[in-house]
Amino acid sequence: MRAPVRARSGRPAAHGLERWAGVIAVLVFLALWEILPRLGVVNEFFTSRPSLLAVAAVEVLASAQYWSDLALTMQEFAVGFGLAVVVAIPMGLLIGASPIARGIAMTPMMALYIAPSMILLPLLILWLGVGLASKIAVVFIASYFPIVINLLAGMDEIDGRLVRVGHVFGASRLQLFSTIHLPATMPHLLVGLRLAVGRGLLSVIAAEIFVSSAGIGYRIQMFGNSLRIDRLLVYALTVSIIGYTMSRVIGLLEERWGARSVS
Amino acid sequence: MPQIQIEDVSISYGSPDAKTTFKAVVGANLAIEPGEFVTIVGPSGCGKSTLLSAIAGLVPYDGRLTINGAAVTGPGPDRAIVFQDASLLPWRTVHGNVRFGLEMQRKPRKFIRERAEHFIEMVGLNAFARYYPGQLSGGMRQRVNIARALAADPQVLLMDEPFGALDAQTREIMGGELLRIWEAERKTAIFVTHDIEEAIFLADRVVVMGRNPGRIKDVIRIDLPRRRTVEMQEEPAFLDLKRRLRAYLAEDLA
Repeated sequence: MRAPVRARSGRPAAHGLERWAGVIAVLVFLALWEILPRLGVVNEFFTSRPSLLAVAAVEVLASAQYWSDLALTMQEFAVGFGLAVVVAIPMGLLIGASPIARGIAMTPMMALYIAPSMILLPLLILWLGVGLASKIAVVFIASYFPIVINLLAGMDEIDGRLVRVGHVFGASRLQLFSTIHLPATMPHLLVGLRLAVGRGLLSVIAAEIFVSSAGIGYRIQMFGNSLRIDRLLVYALTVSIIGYTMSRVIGLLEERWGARSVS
Repeated sequence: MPQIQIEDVSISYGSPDAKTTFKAVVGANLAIEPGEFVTIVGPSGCGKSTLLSAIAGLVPYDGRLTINGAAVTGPGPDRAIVFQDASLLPWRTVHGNVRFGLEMQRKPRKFIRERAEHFIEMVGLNAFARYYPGQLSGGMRQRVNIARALAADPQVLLMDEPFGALDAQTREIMGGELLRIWEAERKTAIFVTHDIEEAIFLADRVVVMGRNPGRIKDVIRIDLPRRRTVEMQEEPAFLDLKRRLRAYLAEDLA
């Protein structure tokens, strides 16, 4: 028997310089950021400096307030995002399974997808108050549509021959969703989740900046008002690290899924 | 009593744009005994795959089509299909694909695993149980397809040009393998092909179909002894059958 050919989406090993180019660029940036305010070229008052930032980071990370802000924001995000995933996946599969339902749903979904969820914030606050619930709702709306829209696109492209395999082997409706539709649309779903993470995170921070009394967004707003640029940046950096980590995790899932379904 | 009875079966496709219907198969009659290996051969457009799809319960038909006396109204666990290609689930391993039918039947986990392993071994893919379809050759993929169909424990195995996408040599090897497996399992088998030699080599009976309209022209009994060997294909009896079938099929192409 012939040895199988292993299909791998291998990218060629990065050249030394290429691999370090990103790191070098960051180091150059940090150096300029440190030096230019010291030379008086830019006003330190507005830009801070990496060394000041490091000091602020130590202070901030040692404070209980930082961790309670982080916990609050992550709670709002996690609940909203989790609900969006739990609702959007069955909805996407159900609507996607019927071409007619897909046709009806696509336009309003697109309209809601394109509109920033923040425009609904005043309404949500009116309905749900200024606390946790309105933030969760904003994250939910922001995350829900990218997932559904991408899932619908995936259902649209699904290979009918694979669905037929499900029918032939007697799959029930539920089995068809879980063993054919869901895995077949997995690449689309993961793209949707990645977009949803970004939008959801943006929404929770923005909502906190506008209306709240705690959380990362609130603190960013507060430090901005009191011109504590160093502390503001520590909080901002926190947000980008969280966002980057989450989208990287989803990116790894995409790679793993892609590697197995090469055909 | 025949296991599969096809009486005056016609199959039409409605075209979505017009009100015309295209008759793919007209007035087909055929009876298939349990454990029989029947091949259906004919030029493209003769409706051979369509007839198989009707037996599978995938397309509606007019007339009477029964399996063990019960009318076919849809797919069922008494039948399993091996398609030509692209029907393995690319996100499942060989093992995952072979167990698919049993999972749908909600069999116990242990039973599923053991039965899947048994059929993977039968098709000679033990070493590749953890591979994904994309990592296998075309011939290996069709072995997986056959194992998946057999693992579901159907009474009737339906095959729609399963080796159509393979090169001639692999095809010949797969034909021999299929017969070995069939002799071990003794399922009723219906095998659609456009290859005359393949049709004769595998079959107890060859159903010859013609086109315009798609219909059964004749059914030819193949009295070559089991088990069949590759050398048999050089013998006069085989060559006679081949000549006869080719003449039949040539009528349609004229």
